[in-house]
Amino acid sequence: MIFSTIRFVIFFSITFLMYYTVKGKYRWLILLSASYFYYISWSFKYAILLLATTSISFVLAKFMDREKNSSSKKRYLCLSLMLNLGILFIFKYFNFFNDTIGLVLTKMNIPQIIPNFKLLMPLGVSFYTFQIIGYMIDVYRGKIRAEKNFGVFALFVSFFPQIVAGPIQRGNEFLHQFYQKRQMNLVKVKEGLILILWGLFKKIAISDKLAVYVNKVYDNPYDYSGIILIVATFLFSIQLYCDFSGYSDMAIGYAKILGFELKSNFDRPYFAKSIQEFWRRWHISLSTWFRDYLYIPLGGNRVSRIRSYLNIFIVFLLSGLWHGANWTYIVWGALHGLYLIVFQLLKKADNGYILKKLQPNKFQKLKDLIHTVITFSIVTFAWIFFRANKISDAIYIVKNLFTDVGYIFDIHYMGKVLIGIGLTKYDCFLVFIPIFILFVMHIVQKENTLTEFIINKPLIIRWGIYYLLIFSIILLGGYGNAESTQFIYSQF
Amino acid sequence: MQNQPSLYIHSSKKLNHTIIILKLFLFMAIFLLLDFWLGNELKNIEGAKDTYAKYKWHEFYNMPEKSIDIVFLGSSHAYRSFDPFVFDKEIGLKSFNMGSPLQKPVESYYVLKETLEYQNPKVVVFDVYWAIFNNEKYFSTKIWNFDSMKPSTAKLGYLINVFDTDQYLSALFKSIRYHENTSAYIKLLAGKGLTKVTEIDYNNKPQNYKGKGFVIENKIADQGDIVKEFKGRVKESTSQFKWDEKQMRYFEKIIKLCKEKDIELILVTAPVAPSYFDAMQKYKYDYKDIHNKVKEIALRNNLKYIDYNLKNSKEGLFSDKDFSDNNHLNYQGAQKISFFLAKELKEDNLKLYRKK
Repeated sequence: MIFSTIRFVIFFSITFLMYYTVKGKYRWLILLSASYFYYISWSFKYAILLLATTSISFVLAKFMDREKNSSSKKRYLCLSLMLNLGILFIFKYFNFFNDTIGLVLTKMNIPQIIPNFKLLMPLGVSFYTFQIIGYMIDVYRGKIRAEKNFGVFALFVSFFPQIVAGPIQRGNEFLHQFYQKRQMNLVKVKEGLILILWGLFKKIAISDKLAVYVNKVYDNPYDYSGIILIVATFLFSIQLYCDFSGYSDMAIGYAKILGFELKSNFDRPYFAKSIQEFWRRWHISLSTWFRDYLYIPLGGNRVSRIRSYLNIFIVFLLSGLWHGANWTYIVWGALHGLYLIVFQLLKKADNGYILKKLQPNKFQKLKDLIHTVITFSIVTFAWIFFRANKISDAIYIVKNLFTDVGYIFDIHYMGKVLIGIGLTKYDCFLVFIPIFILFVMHIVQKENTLTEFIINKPLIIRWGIYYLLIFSIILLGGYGNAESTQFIYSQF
Repeated sequence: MQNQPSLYIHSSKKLNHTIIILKLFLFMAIFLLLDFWLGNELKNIEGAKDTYAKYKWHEFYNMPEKSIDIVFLGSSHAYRSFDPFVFDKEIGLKSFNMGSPLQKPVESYYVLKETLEYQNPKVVVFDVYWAIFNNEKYFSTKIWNFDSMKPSTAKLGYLINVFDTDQYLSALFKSIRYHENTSAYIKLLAGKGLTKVTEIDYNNKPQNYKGKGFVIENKIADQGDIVKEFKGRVKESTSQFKWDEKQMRYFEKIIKLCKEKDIELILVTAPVAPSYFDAMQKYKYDYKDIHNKVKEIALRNNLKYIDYNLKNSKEGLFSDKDFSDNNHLNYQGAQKISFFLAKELKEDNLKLYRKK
């Protein structure tokens, strides 16, 4: 039941009606039932796993909270980490590591005896385990008290708008919301609907549409070379952003309609002027999670320079691994680690000289633009590894990116290149008009949030925007295509 | 006086709610108008994809009420096999073929319900072709009936029960259904695309639509093509055909509806090409099981059942030359079966004759 289907809309509508019909103190029960119904509709046995993980974590947190002795607290925390990371390892990483070890053993002529598991990855396991781990660490640190109500804790873990692909919530920001008394707030409902509409626009009118062209190239990269690979990679950078941020917008929107505020997950990341800024804007809930629960415990930047660079590298390596059990993701993560280290080195090296030069002057906007373009380019380059099916594909693509770059300003040549992936000049309208709308809305979002911008407009303009988005989704959307409807981040 | 403030707040809230509801209705109304306009603009780029279904339904709705005596239901096996003009001539009564592509029993049920809003046939001939008793989710064939039916409870039932949940939006909103024509529409606006198609134009109807729901196919199947599916097979093995539970349920509902309306229901299985039938029995299905399943239903409900596959095996009524492909009769074959069936119905002294 993905967000962009009518089945989900029917399910949500029933949940919404029941939620606001029952008395306040029973509402969490409606949400918990709906969340488990949602999860069970995908898989009953993995709903049992979710319940088991939740139950054990709940008990461990309570024990940990009662302990005064810090080594006992640590023991409970370690148990919880072992449980949650163990589940993640078995379902997501075991086969990957087994295959890698197998390759090494084969090279040494040693037979591999341990077979792979034939297990489907539980829906949202990467997200809910991290959410639980974050909660457990916060309880250990004394930042929050352990939740007393099992049902509320179970809801915190399984809350259906965000279990599949986040945003990853913190206990201190989210748990208390389940206890708040709330009436249906029409303004929140309106804001929620706007976010859902915007998310659908990004997902269907842009991401699903681009998926067709990107998949054509990335699933058969050896059939292509040169500019076509650059175009496909550029389209993928837009596709991935729209897919994931579209999902996040919908998750936040659905939660808002029910009266809940979820953490924001994206802040116009492709407008970042540095790689450091990019990671403050992209998948915010995950990057802050890694910062708070891995980078800072490793010492962060409060250690020697070399050690802090190592910490950055480890964090991004693991972030890459979190995204998927494939060397392509690890290389992607390592690349970003290197980017950040280089950025730190450059910052250190100039001793603020460049910074002084960058003080606002008449060329500030041009400098900002150059920095934005450079950041976007290096991020897009790294996406090659993120999207490629295997390392060898990624290496091929990197090696063959610039074979015909001299023709980039030749309109006829570019026309042939685009037709090569199925983009006629009429299809270009269908692809680039929504991207242009996205770009314009992002410029608008510099000063206001999207909902603030729309809600404050006169009725005719508001409705005009709604119809523009709705009919863009309907007419320009890439739906009816099975491969393009799955959310990319739900695979993680 | 003390009550006025709370009354004022209450009526103010009520007014707000009323305004919100009115706004919602207005928003939906404008959306529906835009969808209607855009949907038709995009639909009319269909060009060569013009369908028999709209001509059939248009003709049906223009028939005088309560003037049809015999109705045929079923898939392409029905509308390519049973020529109403032959039945009209041989039996001397009016018939109409309501078959449509891949018409499953669930669709047949609602097509029959809609038919009964305007007509009161004495006989319904239902072609039972086992291959359509599945849950395959084709959309385009379902929409041909849906689009042409007038708004009614039968049409609502068709929407809810024939389409899958994920197909509802495409069924209801033409702009969603024809969104893939957007590129062609832009081309059209640029003066370089396909031409538009008008709605019903009998001068430009599909050439093989004869009338009264019957479709002609003159092609004679290539012998090699008839058994292409089984090419290279050596080992003879068959499996049991799986009858979809939902389609079987609607089959029973058709039987019940006919009983309620005092309509004589006749079950027929139009033949497949003899070479295909022989090969199918060796390499695909045990046909006896298929036949016995339908026979059991017919016996239980006291219905006549004519299986032209078995009849053909015994009597050699049809040859491969009577088929346009491995399982559809061509015009020559259709004339034959229509004549045979019409003769059989006449000889059976049908209810309609008794009433006459």
